[in-house]
Amino acid sequence: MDLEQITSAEFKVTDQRPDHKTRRYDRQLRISRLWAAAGQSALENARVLVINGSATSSATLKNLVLPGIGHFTVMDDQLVTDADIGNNFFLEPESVGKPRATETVRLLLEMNDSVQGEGLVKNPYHVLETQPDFFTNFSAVILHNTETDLTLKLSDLAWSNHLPLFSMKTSGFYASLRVQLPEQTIIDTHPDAIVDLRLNKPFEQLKKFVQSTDLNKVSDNDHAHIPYIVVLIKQLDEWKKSHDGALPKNITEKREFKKVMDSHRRKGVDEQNFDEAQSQAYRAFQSNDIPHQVAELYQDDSLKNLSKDSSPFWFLVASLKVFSDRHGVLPHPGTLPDLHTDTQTYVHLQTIYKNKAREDVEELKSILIGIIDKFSVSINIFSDDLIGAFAKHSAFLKVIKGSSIGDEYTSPRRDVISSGISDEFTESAYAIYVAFIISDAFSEKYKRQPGDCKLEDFENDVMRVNSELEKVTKDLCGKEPSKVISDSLLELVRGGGSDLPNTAAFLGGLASQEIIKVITNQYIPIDNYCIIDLIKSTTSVLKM
Amino acid sequence: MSHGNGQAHTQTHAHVDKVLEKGGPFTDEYFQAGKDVKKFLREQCKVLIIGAGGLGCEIVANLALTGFSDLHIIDMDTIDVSNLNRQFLFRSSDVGKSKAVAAADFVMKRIPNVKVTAHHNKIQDFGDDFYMQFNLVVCGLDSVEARRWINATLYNMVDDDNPESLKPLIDGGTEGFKGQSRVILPTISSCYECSLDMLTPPTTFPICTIANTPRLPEHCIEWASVLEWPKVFPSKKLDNDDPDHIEWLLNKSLTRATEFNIEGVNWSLVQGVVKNIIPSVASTNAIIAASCCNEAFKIATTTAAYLNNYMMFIGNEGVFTYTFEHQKRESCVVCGGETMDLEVKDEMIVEDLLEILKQKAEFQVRKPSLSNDQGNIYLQYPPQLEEYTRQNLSKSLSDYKGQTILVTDANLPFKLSLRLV
Ligand SMILES: [Zn+2]
Repeated sequence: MDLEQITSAEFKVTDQRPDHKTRRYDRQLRISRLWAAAGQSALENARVLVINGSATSSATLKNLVLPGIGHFTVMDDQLVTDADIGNNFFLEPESVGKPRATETVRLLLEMNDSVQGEGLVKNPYHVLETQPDFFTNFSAVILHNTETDLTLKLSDLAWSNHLPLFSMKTSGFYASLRVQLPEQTIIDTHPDAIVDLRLNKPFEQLKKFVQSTDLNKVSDNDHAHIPYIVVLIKQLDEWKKSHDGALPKNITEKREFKKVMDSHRRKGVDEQNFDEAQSQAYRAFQSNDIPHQVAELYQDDSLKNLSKDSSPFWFLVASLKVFSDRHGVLPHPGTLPDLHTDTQTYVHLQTIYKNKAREDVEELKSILIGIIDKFSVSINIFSDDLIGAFAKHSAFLKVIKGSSIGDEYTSPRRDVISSGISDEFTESAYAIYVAFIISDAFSEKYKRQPGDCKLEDFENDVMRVNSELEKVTKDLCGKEPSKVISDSLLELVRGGGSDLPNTAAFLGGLASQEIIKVITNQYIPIDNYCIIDLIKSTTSVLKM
Repeated sequence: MSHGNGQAHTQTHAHVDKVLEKGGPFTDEYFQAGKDVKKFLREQCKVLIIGAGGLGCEIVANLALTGFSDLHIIDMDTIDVSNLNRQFLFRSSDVGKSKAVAAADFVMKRIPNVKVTAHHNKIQDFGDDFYMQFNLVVCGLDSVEARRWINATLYNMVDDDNPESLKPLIDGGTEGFKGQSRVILPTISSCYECSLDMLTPPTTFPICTIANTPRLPEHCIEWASVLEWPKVFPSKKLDNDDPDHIEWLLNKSLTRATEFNIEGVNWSLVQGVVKNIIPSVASTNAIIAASCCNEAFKIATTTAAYLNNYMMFIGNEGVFTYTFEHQKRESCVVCGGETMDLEVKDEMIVEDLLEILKQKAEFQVRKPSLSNDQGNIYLQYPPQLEEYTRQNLSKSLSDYKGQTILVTDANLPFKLSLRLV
C-alpha cells in the first residue's frame, strides 16, 4: 500500500467535526475557558437596549454583536451629522441626514447574520411617558452620555424591575462606567485553578490509598512514581503526630518539614515526584477549613430570610451550610491536577477524587431536598448540572449587592467626594469622579456639556464649572479645591463631552465585557463604578 | 440637508478637534494647538500596522477614525471562519482572502480620505528602507517571534545622528480577558526583548510522559501528533489547518485515551493542543487596541503625555489595570549589549547548552547556532555544515569555559554573546 492509499484509508469523515456555528465562535468557547456553551446560550437569548447611537454605543454593541448576542435595540431620535461619521465606525458618509438609530443598526448587523437588531427613532423621554413598560422588556439597559434626569428616571425604573443598567460617560480622554446591578449571585466565577487536594483532611478513600503505599518497600522505579500527594499526606501525618496535631506554622517549621520530607528521596534516582512535593508543600500548610468569603455568605440576610420566593442560589447556599457544618469542609470539586506518576496510579487517584465529588454532590442534593420541602419549592428548578457546578465552585461563589444610581444622587458619597477634592490623594480616579458630578450639575443648568461650545466661549465655561466646584467643596467638605481636582475638571471640560474614537473603543470594550459577564452570569463584574483615565492610561474601580 | 461622497464634511473631526484646538492641564508645554498639529496628523504622519487579526482590525479602524490618513498594514495570513467572531472587518464571503487586503479595503470603503496600503507579506520580507518611511509602528500580533524580530529591527535602525530613525513601537497583546499595551522607544525605554522573561512559557509535556505514562487527554493528543504522525506519514508535514489531519489525530488520540482510561479527548481539544490556540474575545481586543491607538494619537500630536511605558489589563475579576515603567534589563540581548555570563556544570556538553538556550525564559532561541573566535561550533543551516558540525554536540562545555560564544538564530536579527563560567 502506498502513502496515498494509507492516507485515504485513514481519513474517514465522521460526525465529530464541529458545525459552522461552533467554528465561528471557536475562540471564545475554547475548552470552556471563556464562557462555554451555557454562557453562549445565555448571550444568544439576551436582548439589550441602548440609548443613543453614539460612537461609544456602537463600539459597545460591536463587541456584543460579534460574539452573537440575541437582539439589540438602539433608541435615538437624532439625525446623523458630519461629526457623527467622523467618530463612529458604524456610520458612513451616506448616513448623514438619516436617523442615527437605523443607520448604526444597519451597519452593526452586517457583522453577524445570526443577530437581530432594531433602530427606534424615538425620544426616550417620550417613550418613558407613554409606555414605561417598554424599558422593562430587556436583559440589560445601556446608556451613553444621557442627561442626568433621564439617567435617574431610567435607573430608577431598572432598579425597581431588577434589571441591570450600565451608564457610560465620555469626555475627551476621560470616561466612566457605572454598573447598577440587582443582586448578582455568581457560581461560575472562573477562578484560575480549582485545586483541593484535602492533604490536611483526607477523606476515607484517600486515606486508604495513602496507607496502601509503603515508601520503604517499593522498587526505585515505583518510588519515583508515587504521587506527591501521597508523599505530602504521609509527611503531614507524621508531623502532626509529633506536633500535637498542629500544622507547620512558621518559616522555620516549614523548612524543617520540607527537609525531613526530602530525606525520603532514594539516592541516585531522578525523583520528579519529590521535586513536586517540595514545590507543592505550601498546600499542605493550609487548613481545609471553610474559606472566609463562604463563611461570610452563611451570615447573609438572604439566608436568614429564606422563603419560597428566594432564588435557587440561596437554597443551595443553605444546603452548603448544612453540609459544611456536618463535615467541616466544602464538597470536593473532583479535579486533580497533573502530577508525576504512571498512568494507572493517576487514573486511580483521579477516580478516588471524582467519586468523592460525586458522593458529596449526592449528599448536597439530599440536604437540598430536605430544605426546599419545608418551603414547598420544587426540585425541578435545580438541575443536576446546577447542583454539580455549585458544589464544584463552592469555594469561589460570589455575591454582588448592587446600589442604585438614585441613592448616589440623593445622598452623595461625601467620603468619595472629599477624597476627590483633597490634596492627599494624588490618584486621579476620585477627582475625575467629582469632575463628572460637576459636569452633570453644569449640564442640568445649561442643557449642554461644559466645553461643548465655541473656542472663544471656553473660558466662560471653565469659570462656570469652577464656581460649581467651589459650591460642592464648601457645601460638602468646607475645603478649598485642590490642584488635582481643578486639573481633572479642566481636562474634562476640555473634552467638552466629546466621544474620541479611542476613548469610545476603550469604554465600549470594557462595557461590553461587563455586560457579557452579567448576561452569562460568569466571571466577576465590577462593583460598581469604573473611572478610565486615558492620559495616564489607568482604570480604577470605586464603590458607590 | 443632503450630503454625499465628494462633498466637504467640514465638521467630521469635531470630536477629535476638541483636544487639538486647545491644550489641557496635562499637555506638554511644547504642544502647538490648532492648524499645524492637525496637518501633521491628517496629512503627514505615516503609520505602520503589523497584524490584521483580532487586534489589527481594531487598530486600523481606530487609527483611521482618529484622523491618520496614511496607513500601511502587513499580514501574511488569510481569513478563516473562526476569525469572524472578533475580526470585525471580515465577512463570511471574505474567507480565504488576504487579511491585510480585506481590512484595508473595508476601512477605505467606510471612511473617506484615508489611504490604507495592504501588504500580504511576512514582516521579514522587508528591510530597513521600508521601515524607515514610517513615523510610528503599531503592533497587534499573537506571535512572540515576529515581535522579537520587529523590536530588534527597529532597535538596530536607530542612528544617534538622525532623530527620524527612532521609530516608537506600540505593542498590544491579549489572551482571553487579559492583555497589555506598551510604548517602546528603541534605545531609550525598555524593549520587547527586555520583558521576555515576563511571558508565561508555553506548556510542554516531557516526551517520556507522552510515550509511556499519559495521564491527561493532552498527553494522548501529543502522542498522536508528535510521535505517531511522523511514523505513519514520514514524508508528509502535519497541517494544523487541514480538517482531515485533525480528524486523523482525533481518532488516534481517542484510541490511546480509551486504552489508558483517559477521558476528555474531543475535536476542540485536539485543535487547541496542536494549534496552541489562545482563547480570544472581541471586548479585550477592543480595549487593548484602543489603548495602543490612543498612545499613537498622543505621541503623534503631543496633546497629552503618552504611556510610560506599560499597561497591564486583567478583566476576569472586576477590572484591574496596572500601569508602570518597565525597566531595561541589563542582560537584554537586544539593548543590553553586554556579554552575559552563563553558569554551566562541568559534566554538560554542547547539546545541553542548546537546550538551555531554547528553554530559558530570557533566551528562547529556538534554533541556535554557535560560534567562537576560532570558527563555528554548531550550525543549524545549511544541512552540509549542520552535518559537519554535529560532531561537536557531544563535546564537553568545559572545553569552552571562559570563552565568548556567539549565539545566532536565522529567525532573530541579533547576536547573543555568552561567556561560559
Ligand atoms: Zn531590551
